[in-house]
Amino acid sequence: MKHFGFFVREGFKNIGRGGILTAAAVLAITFAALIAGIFATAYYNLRTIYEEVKSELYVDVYLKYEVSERRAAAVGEHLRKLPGVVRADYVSREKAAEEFVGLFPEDSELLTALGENPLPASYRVYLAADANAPEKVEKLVKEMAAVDGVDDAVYAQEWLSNLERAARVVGMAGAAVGVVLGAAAVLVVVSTIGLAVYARREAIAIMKVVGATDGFVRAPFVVEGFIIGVLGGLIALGALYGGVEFLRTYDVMVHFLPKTYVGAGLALGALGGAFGSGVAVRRFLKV
Amino acid sequence: MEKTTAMTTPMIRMRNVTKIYDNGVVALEDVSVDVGKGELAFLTGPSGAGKSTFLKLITAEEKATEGLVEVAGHDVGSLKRRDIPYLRRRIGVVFQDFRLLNERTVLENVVLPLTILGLATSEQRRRALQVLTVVGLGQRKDATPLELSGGEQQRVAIARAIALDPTILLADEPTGNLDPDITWHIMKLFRVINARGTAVVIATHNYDVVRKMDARIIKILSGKLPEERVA
Repeated sequence: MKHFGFFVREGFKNIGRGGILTAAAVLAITFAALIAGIFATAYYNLRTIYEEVKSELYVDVYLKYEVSERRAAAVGEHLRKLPGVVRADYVSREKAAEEFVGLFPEDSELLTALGENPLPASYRVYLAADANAPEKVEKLVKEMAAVDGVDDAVYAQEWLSNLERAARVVGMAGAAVGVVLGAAAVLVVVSTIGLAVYARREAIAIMKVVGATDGFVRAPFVVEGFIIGVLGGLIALGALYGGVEFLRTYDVMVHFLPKTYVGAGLALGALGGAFGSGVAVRRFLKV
Repeated sequence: MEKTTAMTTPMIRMRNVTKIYDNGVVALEDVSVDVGKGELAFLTGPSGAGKSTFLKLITAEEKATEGLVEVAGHDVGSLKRRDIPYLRRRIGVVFQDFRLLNERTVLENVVLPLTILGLATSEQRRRALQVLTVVGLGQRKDATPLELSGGEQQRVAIARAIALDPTILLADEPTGNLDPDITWHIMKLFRVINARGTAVVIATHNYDVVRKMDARIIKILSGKLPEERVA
């Protein structure tokens, strides 16, 4: 690429010459990237919460009151042999009462008022991470509930699968919106750079007269589009970061996008810009 | 009598060339002519006679509707689009309205074809300064075109056209916008360039100049060359 330096210099000069048209193209990319970024942030945060919660989840398997200690031990054995079960800790009725008091100290008289401990013994069953897919868990919980001596198996399944579904919906909606806005941004870049190119059509014609190839004429414009894409992406990321920080001052625990998302977003912006401006030059090359 | 070019290799060779534009205008009709290597020729005729079309067929800006256009032995009509730039690098072109890039300096304008060719930066500069000296503008290299007079701008355009040391130089009404004494200066410049071995074709309707120059005249009338005879 003996012309590379020339193309980059010209690309930057074009940015300067483009003036308000360049600004409009940057703004279009910024807007699209910002909307897509908001969706990406929402998706990423929901996903993070989901992963965190998932890794801490356990199933409470309550035993029937009348179950003997031997039967209870046998249930424990059974539970531990189920696929995907990592650990099953026995929680005696006394321990359950202690935990209850620990969790709800103000309601502790409730237990004493009843005279007898109403809480059943249970097993707290921890699952392997790979067994945590909502469908799998559901099946496993049913299996546990069917074990002889078990009254019920309780798992925060609905909440978890709702969260998972929400993350997926946000992710898909974000992707769809991103695609539409991305295409719109590319179109805006095509038309604004098209105008900038139109203003320089004479210069393009002159270049062609003195023997420039189409690629030579086009390359600085592609560089220009690339820079516009990166600029738009950076501004959007800055705004997004500001927004996240703002929310955090109000104690909303939102995380900013990880580096991979940021990198992918910038790369997309740059490619979109470069592609858009490459297309914009096309029709002025036929000289 | 036209001067014959039969002994030299024709740099430009047209045979039965007709050009009809999309709107039906017949710009050239059954034109056959040779321009030899190192020849100086004037293409004369009234406005609208087909002079510009004649030149555009040579630079592949337009394609002949019929007939053969050869430049330096290459059939221009059958050139692929991607090969056209390489043809143009062997042809220098000068226009009536100069067609300089006004936001660039004189030197940058002249350097442009050398950049396109991909020469090293120092070599680009050296050759650009050299041709600027030939046209007498070495001192104005950092000016922008709009700071120059019309005659000076045309000399910059000529410097740009000869920067690649072309085998053919085409000029379309190069002095149409210039005063008579500047016109004369520009014509002498073409003579110098021709003396270095470049075939020069100058389209003009300025018969005064043509008469004084003692060179071949190709007359064009309503798209025809009534006085040309080719083998």
